[in-house]
Amino acid sequence: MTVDPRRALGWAGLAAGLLIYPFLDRAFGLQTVHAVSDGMIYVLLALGLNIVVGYAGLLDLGYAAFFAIGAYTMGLLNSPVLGSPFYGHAWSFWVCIWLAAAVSALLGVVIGAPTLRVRGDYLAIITLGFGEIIPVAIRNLGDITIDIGGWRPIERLNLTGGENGVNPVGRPYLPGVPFETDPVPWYFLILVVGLASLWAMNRLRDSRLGRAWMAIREDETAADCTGVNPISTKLLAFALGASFSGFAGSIYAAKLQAITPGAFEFQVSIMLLCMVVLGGAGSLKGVILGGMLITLFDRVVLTQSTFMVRWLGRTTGVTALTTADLTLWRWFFFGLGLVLVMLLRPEGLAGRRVRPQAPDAGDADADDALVLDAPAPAPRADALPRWLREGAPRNSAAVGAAPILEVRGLSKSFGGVVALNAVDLVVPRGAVIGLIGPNGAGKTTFFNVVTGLARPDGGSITFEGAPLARLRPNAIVARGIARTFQSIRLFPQMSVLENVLVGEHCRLVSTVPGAVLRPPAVVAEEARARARARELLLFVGLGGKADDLARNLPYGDQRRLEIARALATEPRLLLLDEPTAGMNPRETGTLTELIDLLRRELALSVLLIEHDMGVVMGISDRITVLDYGTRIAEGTPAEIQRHPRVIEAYLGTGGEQDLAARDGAG
Amino acid sequence: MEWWEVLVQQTINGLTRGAVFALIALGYTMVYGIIELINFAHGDVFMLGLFISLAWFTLLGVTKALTGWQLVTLLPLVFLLTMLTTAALNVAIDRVAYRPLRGSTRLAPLITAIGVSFMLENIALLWQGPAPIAYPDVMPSVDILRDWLGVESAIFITTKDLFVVGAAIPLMVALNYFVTRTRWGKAMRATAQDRETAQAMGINVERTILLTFFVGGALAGAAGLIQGMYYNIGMWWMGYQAGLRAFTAAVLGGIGNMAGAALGGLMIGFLSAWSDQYISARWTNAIVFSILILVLVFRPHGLMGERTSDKA
Amino acid sequence: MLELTDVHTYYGNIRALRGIGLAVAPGEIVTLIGANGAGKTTTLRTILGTVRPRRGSVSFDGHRLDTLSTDRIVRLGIAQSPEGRRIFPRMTVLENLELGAFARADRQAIAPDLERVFTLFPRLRERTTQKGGTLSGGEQQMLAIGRALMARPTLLLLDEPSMGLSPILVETIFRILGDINRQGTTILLVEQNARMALRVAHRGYVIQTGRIVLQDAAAELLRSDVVRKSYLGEK
Repeated sequence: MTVDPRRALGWAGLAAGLLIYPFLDRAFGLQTVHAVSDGMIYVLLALGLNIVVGYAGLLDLGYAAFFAIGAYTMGLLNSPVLGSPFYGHAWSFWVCIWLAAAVSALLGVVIGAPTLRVRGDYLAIITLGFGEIIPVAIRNLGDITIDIGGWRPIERLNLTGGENGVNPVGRPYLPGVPFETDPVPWYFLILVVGLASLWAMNRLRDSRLGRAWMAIREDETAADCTGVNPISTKLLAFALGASFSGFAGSIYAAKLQAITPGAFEFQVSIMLLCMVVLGGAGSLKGVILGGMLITLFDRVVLTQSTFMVRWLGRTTGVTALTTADLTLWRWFFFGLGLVLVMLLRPEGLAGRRVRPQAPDAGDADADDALVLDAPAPAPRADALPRWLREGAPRNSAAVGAAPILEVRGLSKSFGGVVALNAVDLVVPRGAVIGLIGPNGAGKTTFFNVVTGLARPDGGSITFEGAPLARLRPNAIVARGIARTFQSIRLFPQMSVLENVLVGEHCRLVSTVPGAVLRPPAVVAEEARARARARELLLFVGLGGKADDLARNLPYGDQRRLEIARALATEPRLLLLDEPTAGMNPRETGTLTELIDLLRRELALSVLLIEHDMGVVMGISDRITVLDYGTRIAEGTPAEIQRHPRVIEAYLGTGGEQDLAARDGAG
Repeated sequence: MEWWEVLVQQTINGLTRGAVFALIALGYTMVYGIIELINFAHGDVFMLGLFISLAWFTLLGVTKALTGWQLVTLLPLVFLLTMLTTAALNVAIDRVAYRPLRGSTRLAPLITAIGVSFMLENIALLWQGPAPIAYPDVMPSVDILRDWLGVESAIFITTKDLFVVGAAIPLMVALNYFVTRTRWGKAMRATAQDRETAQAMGINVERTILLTFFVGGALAGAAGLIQGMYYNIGMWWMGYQAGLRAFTAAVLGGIGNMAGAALGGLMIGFLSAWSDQYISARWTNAIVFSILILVLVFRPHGLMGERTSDKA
Repeated sequence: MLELTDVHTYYGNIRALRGIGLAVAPGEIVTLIGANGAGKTTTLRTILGTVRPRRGSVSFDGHRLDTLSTDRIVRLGIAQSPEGRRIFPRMTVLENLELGAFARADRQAIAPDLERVFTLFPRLRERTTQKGGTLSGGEQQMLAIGRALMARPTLLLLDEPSMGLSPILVETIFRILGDINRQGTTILLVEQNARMALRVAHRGYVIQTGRIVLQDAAAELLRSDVVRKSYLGEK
């Protein structure tokens, strides 16, 4: 990798600036180091919140609760007020910051736990609720007396310092470093913690876990059906986000030497959320920018501007200006700033542009021609990734043995509509089974029930001899069933390569420490995953587009990407929901070959919903016909084409009377 | 006081509190139902409603208790003027801060709502000053049980309590009539349920959203007026706490569901009054939110909310 | 009456329509057939202004539709029974029907039209106070068509009225479509059930990956090899 010299120079400049700044500040007597250090603590908090909001896409309105927990953990462990045994030891601070992070992470899991059931904005209100409860609890636990009919098991217990807070808090100790008297060591301490956090977050973002967060954010259902467990992924986001604010809170407590419950109100959560969104949720650079901007505006611009306006008033003789106090307008301008930035850049200052740019007509013409004439790459057996081949059932003995999927008496209804009515279906190992029927006949519902998205009302599903009942979609993917969706469901804001990598998620094992520290095993795993993803892309003909955003792909490519993502989960049964919908005949032909190749080379079993009769009849070993939620026929393609009920229900009714009726009436 | 008298008294307190929460919650829930926005500025529209109604009273020269014909002419007039003002304000907020962001990310309008909330609070601070403002006691306060009915009781019910309930309930009934019976009310419900199909029915969706903000703003204004007349005090920062409680009420009932918002408002009113009495006012906020969380864990879509299906 | 010329419509970067041209004359039933994802629904959405064409024009009775908002287009006399029915689930059958008439100026004529819908679909009369979401699939389809008729449209757009219905119900729905047409409503019918659609229609268009590939009288299309093979499932 070559380093762009201009970029390198920029980084060097930034590093030098950060190093020199406190000394310049001292030289000029500006006394801004304290404010900047506090600002950096808020940026650190915003970075932690970014994991929850920006990466995992969960709106958190009570993040200050974690900040409070971090600060109070430090306060309680490292203060004489409550008689903590930790107080006064040289090493206390360095131990307590880790304890604070751990306690915050634990709380993150507690707060995240309701996510097991609650979604979207209801989750946001739960976080808001915790954000309200924690400060109230802190305020009131300073003087606990429990009185049960005169019996007082607990009397005037001070657990949190109550309204007065905790004061003093023990300071960090390093030989020769004056943390007591000088703001500069604090600046460097926070800088080091901040940079380390940034480094860790950056690594997390580019790991298996970071991809899982983003997949959940983009489309939770699709992520679930690609093998990502939404529950553990969200809990992890809450816990990690919280642990970063545990660090921030503990340093804040030690730096301020005093913590009061007022510092952790709802407004703080809101301010942090503004930092994240203003800069551009999901972008580390953006969050730092947003955090710095808001802190600077708050601490510097407003106070200085009052000074400036008064000076202007004195020099111009306008008395109204000399007494103006812009600090009174602080929230007005702050609010106005938020509104203006969002109106001008809804995706945040450093966010990716979301709105599609309308190309002019000529442009559209050009890529029209391009797409039509570009030969859809034919799938080749020799391009089939070797690892897929190795994962396939080795000998043909497995083929033709017990069926891979056996569905008996499956029923499902929604409200008053019966979608599936006692449907039986068997997929032999290595077979391609077609599932056809009119729109709304229950085909997609059948897929949803088999993949765990919908709970059946009755019946059994057996995959490789084991029942699938009540398994979550991601667990079913792990068992070896992958699917595609009728209306393509990719992760639109992730790259093509990342989409496939999410597919590999359930076959990878790296954890948080692994993702951050990157031991050789993790590096190797990640490298292998990427190599496999690239091979898969090459195989489906998307080799040159690995770094494009999925949403920018043309339709046919999106379909093939979805299949590649499904293959990345190393399935033994593949469910394809109308894979050729919206494709032209040539694209359809290519896709048919692809399915055929997968079956031939990998002995992959395929269940296929398809409307294109040419495809279904040409490729299926057997076909099941659904109508009105009921199986009306099952057989070989030839049998199905002759089947009277199929012709009646699907291919059209005995139309002669119909014509007659119309002519007679008309 | 006997224990049951305390309970009755606190329940009445809860009812008056809850009525105000319910009116604010309705505005939250209506806006959420139609554009899925948590309108953080809504509590501040309520707060401004209080000060705006005060301004109208001052303009009309009312500084002390209204009597006789004044009560039936001036009071409805101030109601009307206040509601119109806050309704217009709410519509203006939508136009400036939310409408340009339709079809954008979910987070962007949330942040502008927070921004507008800060601006409104600051405006109120500069307009009314930092200290709490005394709201004139324009509602004659009569002890109903003793003075009217001649019943000796420790329970204290005044004409003010009667006024709160007597103003809030007709407003909610009127809203219910509007939403279920009138053409535009039906348009609102249709737009909330399926915007694209509503459009295909010939409904002007933007105008319907505007109407929603108008009605929500009017209700918040009425709530502000009622609050001022009942408690005789107004603070620039009160919108935040009231908004939070009202939003909680809306979520408790099932956000987007109007009957749920009214029910949620009343429940939060009762809960907070009972908690103030039987536990401790210091813990009330924590108790209200704990109950909210418990309800959501067991009924993830609120008490009356309907499950939204997740289609593949 | 309705004319589309060289219409190109995009979803983001995905080209859904690549130069559609079609015309519907007063009194006709015209059907648009094609595979899933070929652009049938997008064509209807473009006519109704739910999506905007990036190029080309849509005109109706001398009005350009491609610049009008959907509610204005509906007021010109176009109504739609959308794909998947899209009934308002938490409103009663009666309310759904009333919403169909939302854009009409002649409010007093609504009552007789309600009667007409109930005559066409007697099932709906039995269920006036039931919530839309609790109806069966067939009832919902009837409601969707009835709701569109309540607008007393001069042009009725139907998107897959046979979807998810049993053969007998499909038969009934198509018979009623014929009746509606004879009562003077022009119909543009999008269907997957090509055979049924071509039987009831006068003319037909075949759409494939966003382009019209074939157009003819319905009877001719029924006989055409291409249609028989790709859409009727015959070899």
